[in-house]
Amino acid sequence: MNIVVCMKAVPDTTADKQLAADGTLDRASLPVIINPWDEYAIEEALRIRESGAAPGEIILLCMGPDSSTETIRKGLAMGADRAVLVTDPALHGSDYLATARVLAEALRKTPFDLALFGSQSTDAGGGVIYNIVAELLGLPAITWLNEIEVVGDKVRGKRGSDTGYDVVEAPLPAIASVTQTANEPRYPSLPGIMKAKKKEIVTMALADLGINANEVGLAGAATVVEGSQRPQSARARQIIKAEDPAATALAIADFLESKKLI
Amino acid sequence: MATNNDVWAVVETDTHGKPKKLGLELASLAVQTAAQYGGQAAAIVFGPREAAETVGQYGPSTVYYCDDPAYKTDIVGPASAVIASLIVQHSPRLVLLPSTSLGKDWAGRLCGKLGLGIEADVIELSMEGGKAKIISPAFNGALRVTSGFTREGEQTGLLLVRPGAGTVRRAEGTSANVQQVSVPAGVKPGQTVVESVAAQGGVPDLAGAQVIVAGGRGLGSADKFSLATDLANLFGGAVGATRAVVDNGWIPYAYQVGQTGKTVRPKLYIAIGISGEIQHKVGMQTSGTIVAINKDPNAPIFQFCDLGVVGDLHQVVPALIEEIKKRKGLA
Repeated sequence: MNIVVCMKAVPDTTADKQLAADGTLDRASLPVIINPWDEYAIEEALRIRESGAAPGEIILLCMGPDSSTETIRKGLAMGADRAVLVTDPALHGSDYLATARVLAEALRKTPFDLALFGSQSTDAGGGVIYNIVAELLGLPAITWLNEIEVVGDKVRGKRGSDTGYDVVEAPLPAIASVTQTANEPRYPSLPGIMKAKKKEIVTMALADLGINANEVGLAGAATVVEGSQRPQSARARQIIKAEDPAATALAIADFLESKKLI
Repeated sequence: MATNNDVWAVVETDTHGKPKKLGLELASLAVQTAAQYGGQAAAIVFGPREAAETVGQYGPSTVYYCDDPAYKTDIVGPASAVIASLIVQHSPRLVLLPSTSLGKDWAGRLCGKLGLGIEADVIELSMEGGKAKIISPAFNGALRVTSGFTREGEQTGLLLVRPGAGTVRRAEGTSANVQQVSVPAGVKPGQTVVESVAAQGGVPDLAGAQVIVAGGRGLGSADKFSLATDLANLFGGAVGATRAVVDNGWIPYAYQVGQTGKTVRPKLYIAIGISGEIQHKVGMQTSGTIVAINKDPNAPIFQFCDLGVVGDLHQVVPALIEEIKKRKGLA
């Protein structure tokens, strides 16, 4: 039983981000990290395998520029076996549908029982990719899971609801997305990092997936970015030092009243 | 396959079968936007006929509703099939969906089925030159991006709209045509619920909260979280937490605000014992007013708050609770 984890390299949370004139991000020039949500997906895949429920390979699937390789190595160092990187200049500026099409075609070429995703990314953050992929592949998807397990030929998980949680389930093969769970993604060990250097990263281009260049990238996108701005922080940043608690409480309450918040 | 000029809203209902507030915001926003296009507004309600009639009071000319229990057992397959079939039948220009986990699931399925474009995390929708001008945050709010649909008018555009983008506005003297719709036959399984479990003490409605009091590591221990809870209760608000607090097991993940938790936008956000690292900041920076209480004068949160209090929260917060009780006539 094989698990594919779809992962994405995103700009480091602390990096200074700016969009190019075509409304896209110059991903190659920025320090990148594994999308933090995807680290949970990789961790869950490793745990599922360690539980004995899914002996088999764990394969990372990533779409992005060559610079994604560094983050893929981190996933391999955590314990994934091998990776597929789909990279092609024509993919620059791809929208959700184009990205999902690429992942779906790559998944068709990578036999899997479970394809795991982080529930959203920290760059575009749409949280829609895995359902598009599921629809294109005609598969069920259980999503936004706080807990996940493979039981026999089914995947099951807990998803937050308005009143508590729902237990959701799908027969394999299936798609699933996870959130941050109670457990911490493991840090790669030194032997893990050494081993990862030798693990295989297969690179695929659009032609390998049978997708036309004009259907993806900026040319094929259904949405277009027209501009971007840094939000202006117009906050007053009024700072008071709490000497006496009662006097401080008075000052805070006065402030809240002045803003009609009490 | 040109679209018409209609704008639709998709409305979720709560466990009592009432339309959710975000749904009413979307219905009002659809009415307002459709008027700008010279089209009609419609709503699709998943819930009982009464909910559809309630939504009708906000001005859409047609309200479709689906109360087939199938949409509750499989929360994604049937609902997305209903929306897809209505889109194919009527070709609306824009469809507004709630930017919730379920709304995102539906939008993904619709995109896959019909090949439509999605604009996610929409915080503003207006019209410019006859086309939708959409504003959404990117990179965790580091940028505000303006965007639009490349094929607007040729194919339906899907928008995932966040709370606060629309204002709930009851319409006077209009009446909606309320129509029941059923789940198309032969829907493939999407996401099947096998059991629903009610959480002890309920679930926080962070998205809908007007006031959030969030606690961080500075609280010191799990039992001190009651300081945040007591203060939140005075405002009828919700509590939130940082990842450190959740990782320590002081409070469940459902309360976490930040990069891998929830993104919130209350009118008032009170951060107690929170240093304000970027991972937390990105989940709350668009809040209305931010008040921070922290003993470390160099805490990053003091760089993006409206009022910062440098001091011991264990003294300041109890005093603040007493002061607010007085002003509310509770003490």
